[in-house]
Amino acid sequence: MIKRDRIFVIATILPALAVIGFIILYPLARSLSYSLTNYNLIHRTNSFVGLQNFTLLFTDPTFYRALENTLLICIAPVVGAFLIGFAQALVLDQAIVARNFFRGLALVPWVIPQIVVAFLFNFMYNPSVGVVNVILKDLGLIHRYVPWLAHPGSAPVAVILAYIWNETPFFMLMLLAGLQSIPGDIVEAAVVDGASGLGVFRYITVPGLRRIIAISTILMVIWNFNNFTIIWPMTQGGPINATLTFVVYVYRNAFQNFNIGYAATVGVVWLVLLLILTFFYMRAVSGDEEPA
Amino acid sequence: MRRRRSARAQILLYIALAALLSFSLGPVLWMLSTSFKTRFDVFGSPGSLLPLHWTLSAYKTVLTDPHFTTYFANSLIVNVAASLLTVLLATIAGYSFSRFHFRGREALLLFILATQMFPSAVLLIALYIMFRHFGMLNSYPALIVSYVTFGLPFSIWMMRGFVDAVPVEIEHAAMIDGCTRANALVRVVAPMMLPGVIAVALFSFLAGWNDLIWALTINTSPGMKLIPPGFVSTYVGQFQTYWNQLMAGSVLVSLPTVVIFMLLQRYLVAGLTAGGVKG
Repeated sequence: MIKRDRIFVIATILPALAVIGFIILYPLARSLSYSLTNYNLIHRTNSFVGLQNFTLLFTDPTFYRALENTLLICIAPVVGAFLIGFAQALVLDQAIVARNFFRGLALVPWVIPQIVVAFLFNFMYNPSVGVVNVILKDLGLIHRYVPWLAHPGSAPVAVILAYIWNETPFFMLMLLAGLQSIPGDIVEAAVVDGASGLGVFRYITVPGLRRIIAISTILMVIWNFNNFTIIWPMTQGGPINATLTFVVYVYRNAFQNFNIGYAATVGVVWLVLLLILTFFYMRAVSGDEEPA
Repeated sequence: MRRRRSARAQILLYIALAALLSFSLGPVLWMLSTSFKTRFDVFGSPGSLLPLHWTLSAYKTVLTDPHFTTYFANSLIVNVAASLLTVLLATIAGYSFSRFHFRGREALLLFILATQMFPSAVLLIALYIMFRHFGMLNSYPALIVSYVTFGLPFSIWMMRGFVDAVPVEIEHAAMIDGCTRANALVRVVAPMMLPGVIAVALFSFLAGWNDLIWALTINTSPGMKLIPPGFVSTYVGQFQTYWNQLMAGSVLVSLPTVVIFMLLQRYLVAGLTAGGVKG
């Protein structure tokens, strides 16, 4: 590379790397180092305590509750949203009238801000004026209105449904893009060779989408770990910690109790879990295509 | 050419379309209809899909509420600034990642992508303490730089994909004609990857528009609050909720993203596939 090009590369890449370094890497390292301290903004303590936070964490029943909830609330919606989004993508890939218009409409739940999603579902689950209660009562499935978000049994389900609704269009988009990248002549050749519609789906469509499916589902699980915007206005982690996830637990510890050391310890466990997921994500992104 | 479907298959297809779209649009229609209801109707006939008495009073109340307009303006300022900055940084970095082969390029790219996986609430802990230390709480710059990091890693990947798609001969021709490389990037390459620029801008705008935890923690004074924490402090834990006003506010907050995305849908699809699918 000639010298002028080298300067150009450095000048163009450095600003982005500097931002990533100062606002992502440095704070990450600092946050993680707090896990070895009793840093507390209220008690004004900040000294090295070794692994004390970790021994505390691994005997903390609330932490195990949060771990369970995090796995459930971050993974279950991905399954639901993927299945509905896949169905939408298959239908919207067909020759139908006003196809682009319908594709745009199907996108709406994803482009509505998540804070609105949270309050919209709060409203729909409301025990006195919520449409969910009205419909279920009209159908005769319940006899009186139920406060869905106030019961530990129903609150996680209610939150997961809100996630599913919000995330479905993302899978629709990704899978639709994937469907369009499968060459039409392969499908035609299979049909000429006598493949049924189901056979084409099983042996051509699904293998052709393998990579997109892997990437989009893992990406969504990772995003869900960070999702605070929907869960906080709906339940704040309650009732009785029934929807307490890692992000809510970190927020409570760090910004309500100002127990920075303990919040950082939860963060370390979170990061380790995500690194395992990232490993699979990377393998999907950089891995070679398997022969179909 | 697709096979011609039988009439029965055709009908089944449209039934499936209607069912799948009503799943996505039902709650939206509910939000819209409630925003045009009177408060009395919301409580009196909670099940009616259409308002009994159409009214704009909820919108009027929300739009004349100085809190709402302040929060809305703050959200716009922070998110527009953050997405412009993201576009700028991602475009120049994405260009070099696409056009030059240098040692460690692949490792650097993978590393940039990996930062996307870091738990953002954990970063927030240290950044909150830093911003507090430097007196940057309750200001725009703290949130702007924070929001840049939400979208930047993925945006660099998207941009690199878009530059890959621009034929290298075009800028070579421009450079032979006397353009510097920076000039060629601005005058020749950037206009050709406008769809990518738009996709990155939209993507990072939505990432910031969706945030609650950073805005809730960093900007707490009434004059500097953004919409999401504003909604939380106004409506969470209230004994009586003015649902028609809350839904009118929700419609207004959704408008910028919904309208932009409906208009520029094609670019978004292209951007997602360039960044996430091609890899």
